[in-house]
Amino acid sequence: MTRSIVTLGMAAISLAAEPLPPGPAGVIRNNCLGCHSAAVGKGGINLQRDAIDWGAPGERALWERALRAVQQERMPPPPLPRPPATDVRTLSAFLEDNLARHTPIGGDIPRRLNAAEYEATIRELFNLPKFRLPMGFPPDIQMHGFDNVAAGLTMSAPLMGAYTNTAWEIADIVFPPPGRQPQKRAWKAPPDDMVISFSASTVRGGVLRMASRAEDIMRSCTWPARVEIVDSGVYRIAVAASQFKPRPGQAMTLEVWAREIDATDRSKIGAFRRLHTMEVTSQSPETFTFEAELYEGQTPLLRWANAELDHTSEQLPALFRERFARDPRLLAAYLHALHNPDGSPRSPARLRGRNGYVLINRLMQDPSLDMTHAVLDSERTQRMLKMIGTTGGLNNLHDTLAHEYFDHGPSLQIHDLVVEGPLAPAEGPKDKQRKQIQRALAGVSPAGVAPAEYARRVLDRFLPRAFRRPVDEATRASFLKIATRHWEQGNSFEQGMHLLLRTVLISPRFLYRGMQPGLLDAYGLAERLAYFLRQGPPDEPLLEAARSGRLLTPDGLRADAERLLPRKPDAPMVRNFTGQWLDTRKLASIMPDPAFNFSDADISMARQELEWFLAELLDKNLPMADFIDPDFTFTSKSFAARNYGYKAAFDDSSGEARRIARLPLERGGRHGGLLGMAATMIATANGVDTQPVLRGVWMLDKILGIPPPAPPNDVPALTPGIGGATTPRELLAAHTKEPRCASCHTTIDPFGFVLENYDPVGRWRDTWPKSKKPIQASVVLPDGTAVRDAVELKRWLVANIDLFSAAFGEKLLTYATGRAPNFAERKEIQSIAADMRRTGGGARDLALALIGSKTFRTR
Amino acid sequence: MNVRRCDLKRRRFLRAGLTTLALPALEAFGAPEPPANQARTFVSVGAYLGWHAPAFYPKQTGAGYQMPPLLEPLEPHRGHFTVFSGLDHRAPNGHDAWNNYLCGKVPGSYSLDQMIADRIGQQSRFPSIHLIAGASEHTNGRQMSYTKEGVPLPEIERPSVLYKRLFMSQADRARVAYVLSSGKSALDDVLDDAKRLHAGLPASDRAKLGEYFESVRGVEKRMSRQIETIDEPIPQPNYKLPETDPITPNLMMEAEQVLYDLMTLAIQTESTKVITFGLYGLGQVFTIDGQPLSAGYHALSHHGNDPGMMRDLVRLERSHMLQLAGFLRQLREKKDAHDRPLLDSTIVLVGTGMGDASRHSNQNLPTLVAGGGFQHGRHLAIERNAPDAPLLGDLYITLMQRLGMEASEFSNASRNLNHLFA
Repeated sequence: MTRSIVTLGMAAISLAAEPLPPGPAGVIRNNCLGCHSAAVGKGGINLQRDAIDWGAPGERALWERALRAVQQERMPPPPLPRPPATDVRTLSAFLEDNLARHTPIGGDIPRRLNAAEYEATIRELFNLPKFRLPMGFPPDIQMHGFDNVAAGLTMSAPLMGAYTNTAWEIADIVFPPPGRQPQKRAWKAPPDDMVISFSASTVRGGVLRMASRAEDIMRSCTWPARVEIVDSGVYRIAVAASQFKPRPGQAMTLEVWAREIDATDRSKIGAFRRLHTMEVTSQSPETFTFEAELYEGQTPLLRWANAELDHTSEQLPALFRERFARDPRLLAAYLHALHNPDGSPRSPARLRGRNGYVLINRLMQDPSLDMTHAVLDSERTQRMLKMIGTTGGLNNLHDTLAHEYFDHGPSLQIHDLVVEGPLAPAEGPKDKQRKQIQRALAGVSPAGVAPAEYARRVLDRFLPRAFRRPVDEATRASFLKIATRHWEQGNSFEQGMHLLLRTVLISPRFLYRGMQPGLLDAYGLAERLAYFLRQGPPDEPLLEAARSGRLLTPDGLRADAERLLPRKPDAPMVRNFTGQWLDTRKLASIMPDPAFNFSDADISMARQELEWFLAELLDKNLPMADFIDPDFTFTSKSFAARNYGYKAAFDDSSGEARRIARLPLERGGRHGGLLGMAATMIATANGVDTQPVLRGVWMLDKILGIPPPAPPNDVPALTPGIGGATTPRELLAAHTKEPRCASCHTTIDPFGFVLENYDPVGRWRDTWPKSKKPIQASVVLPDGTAVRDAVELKRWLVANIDLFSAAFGEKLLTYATGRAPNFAERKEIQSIAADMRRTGGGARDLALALIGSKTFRTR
Repeated sequence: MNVRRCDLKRRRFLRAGLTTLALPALEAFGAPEPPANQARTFVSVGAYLGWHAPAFYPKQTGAGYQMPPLLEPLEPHRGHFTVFSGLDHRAPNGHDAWNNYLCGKVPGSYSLDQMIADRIGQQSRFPSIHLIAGASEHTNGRQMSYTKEGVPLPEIERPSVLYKRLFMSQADRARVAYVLSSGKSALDDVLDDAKRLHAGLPASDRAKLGEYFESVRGVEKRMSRQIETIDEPIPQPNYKLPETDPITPNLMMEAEQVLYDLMTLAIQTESTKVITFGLYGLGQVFTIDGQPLSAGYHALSHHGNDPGMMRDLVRLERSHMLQLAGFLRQLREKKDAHDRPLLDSTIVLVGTGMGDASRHSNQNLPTLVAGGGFQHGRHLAIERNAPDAPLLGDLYITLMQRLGMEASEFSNASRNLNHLFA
């Protein structure tokens, strides 16, 4: 109550507009009003006034915008002359002072749980670790670069409909409607009805042949396309299998697993459950029959567990080496197919599958086949074998070699598959889970107590967890009434509980957080801290700290912040924050051009590098300058050798070479730090070409914290082609000629072009592709500093590290508080960042100090 | 383990159906006959891995062109479609931008089908229907359709789910009716409690919660309508569904065939006016003429200009065209309430957001328009590099106008191609 009076008081004071002093008034008159007078109002901006009402948020926003335009030298726009430096100083000082004095800390609004928070909350509340929102659940809109900003988290009828449906779904999991009677049936899956995925299998003469093994099911397994279990139960499965051209004495191990038919085909075998293993030893079909439990939505999956053709970076090159040693013509054919006439390596993509196999065979028949390099220790052969062990080589050439096994064996043949049942009912994982949840909700199984007592216990235990704070009696009673009334109307126990649960889950007390303005109370702080650092509801220690009031003391807050601030790269906060801060979320949907030979595993490594890097900075409390120019990086040796010019010798075929690890780095190099990291450079390109403008905008927004204004609507997209002889730089030079573009692009473009040495996957290059012209990355930064390339840019950033630290702080607090920091809050962040540097504080100290800030603690 | 397309599970269809279910059923029957040159229904088919342009574009322009290999299955319908070359949205390149197809220059923005659904779809039982085939992983971020707010719309992959939604059974209706009416009665309690919460909040917070109350009222209203209409008769076409949903990606062609059948039924019963159909693909190897193709779909699309890979890619894409030909045949054979062939009033747009999947270029998008009462039979080649060259969006404006909308803008386009159809 006290607080709102104070706020009202302040509002009353600021209602009176303050007259514009003569100094700033003159500057504005001389430099701005030519275009931005009341009469002209160019761009809808009118700066003409005698007094400024600093209490009006709209006025503050307008003058803040003006301040930025002047400080970033966008206004007055070219070709108008720059105003005298004294004018700029006078106006800046006046605006800075007044904005800082008149902008109140805080100002966000209740914040709806975003989709990720909602999903995480459901998972914890119901102990459903695998719960996923249905596809098509309305995703959140990003605002200020993040999808958890209160103003962007609007509510709408379709979204409310989606919450209602999801609540229905969860209630169905916990208190499902009565099931149907199981129906017995038999499925017959002949080879033509088995899935052929990439070169995992093929059909020859009505028989399915399998050739390979891999972790990826889509590269190694087959499964019936038309079997989908409806009733969980025990099933009889009969597989008819035989050997095709086995090695002498070879036993083939055939495994049957259960896969969910809805699982993505990118699943690894380990995601599933093995049902049965059998040894196939005969060349005539033999039928193996066994019984196993299959659950709703599943289908059997067949896997040849000890196939010779093994999709690993160790085994595949070894298989090829052995063949090449036996047959120099085979080696010569592969060398021919994988090299251009000028001897440079060629992408293996076209060799994929049977096409490549046929091509290789044709080349082998060719009498003029060039045998020059066809020895194992030639440089080309060695390089090719190395390439075969990379992901690109594996994915393509594994497919090629499979066809040799299909033709010449050994292959494992499947003649028939029959599934019959259910022979007996079985309690599927869903049934077991349901009973557990029912018990956990009330602390007692519903079978043990009367319905009303069970409902009361659910409300005692579950409601405060769902609403994340103590619940008063009136609220509790209104929810209990929902169940009791439903029972009185003749509905079953399950129906009453079903209704109660789905109603709790659409209450605003559950769907919104931050229901209290001003300084947060203990529960509000617990909630903010929890969703910020663990992306989920407050855990028990936090709730305890809230109950005891300890969280309201600086030391108490710091202790819990210290406990929850991630140290590990797999923390949800690390992934979510970095992914949005640096746009690396885009990595999931960017498929680099095959020419880069950059696989899904590489994409995932690129993402991990960044996450491990941030976690290390936080964990070891490293200086902020290490974000830009550290003496280490996280990557795998194999990845570093392919992408970062890592020179040290290592065994590329070892698993260790592919594991992410901390590698020492010399400071001042091309790679290391946020720039020149694969993840950021991929996210700022499009998989095929670099896009210097995007990179420039990204630098300004993410690294320097001065996002340029959005481009005007009627400007065509700038996606320079890489085809012609012109360099992207020449194409874009047009920018700075057109005055309307120049005001922003003279700031944007230097930060983009200086990164041109990084190709679309972040590798260093010295020439532009196709045109082969040398890349000119030298630019002049807006402050007049000339830098030759990204290495010098990093040096400049380290010298101006406060800029980066404040930008990082702003992003972190935007993510934490759900609002873009206002002028006064940015001042607080800047001063915390500068203090930290002066006192030698590191990244973790900075994060903790920001959590202690008034900006963080105020809603 | 990652689960794909969760909402397509059979158990989820009832809830998913709620967002689009029911509503003034069958109002469209007995509607006045629209003007002869006005279309009523819009269907859009999009290929995630693109259409192989050299086999899609005819070598000659105008009428009487020689049918290119990819379009040969459509020969019987030559007079009922137009091929366009040289059109695109000037959108960014890259596979993640393929959804520029219906969105225009900004992938993920308000898509053509939703603009149409918002204008003419609201009176149908389903404002729009979104289907996919061939996906073996989630389509997140790669959907075809986006609302005005940029929200991607969920797709249906299972024919059985589409069928149940279109033609709900009695038992399903009873369950939906129960959940709706019980849920609606509990809403009052939630609102009472929410009002207590509301009372203690400052004005800015009340405005935010106002959104909540308004949304709840929106849901409540829709529930009421659904409850009222749940017993209204729904056409029962008696279609024989396959015993198992052909959702395994290898069964993609079968899925296309069944879904095209159901799309025809949906159009014929006037259940919807807007349908999108996304053709996806990853590792599936198709068997054509008894012989498995040489590589998986995605591998073939990265053909690297190898003749063998391109040959198989075209064979595969021809299978899609064969299914499409079956759809066009049905639309020509089946008649609407005014005894006109369905195709006369149905625009079928076939295209993609990717001009060259092998190098992830999103320029020069293979595009084809069938039906809708347009004058067809030609290959219209647009000189893409000409100054002031028309955009794909200009064609979309023409399509919207044909559907009776007063459209003058789409994404970066603000003209139309009406003169080309004159």
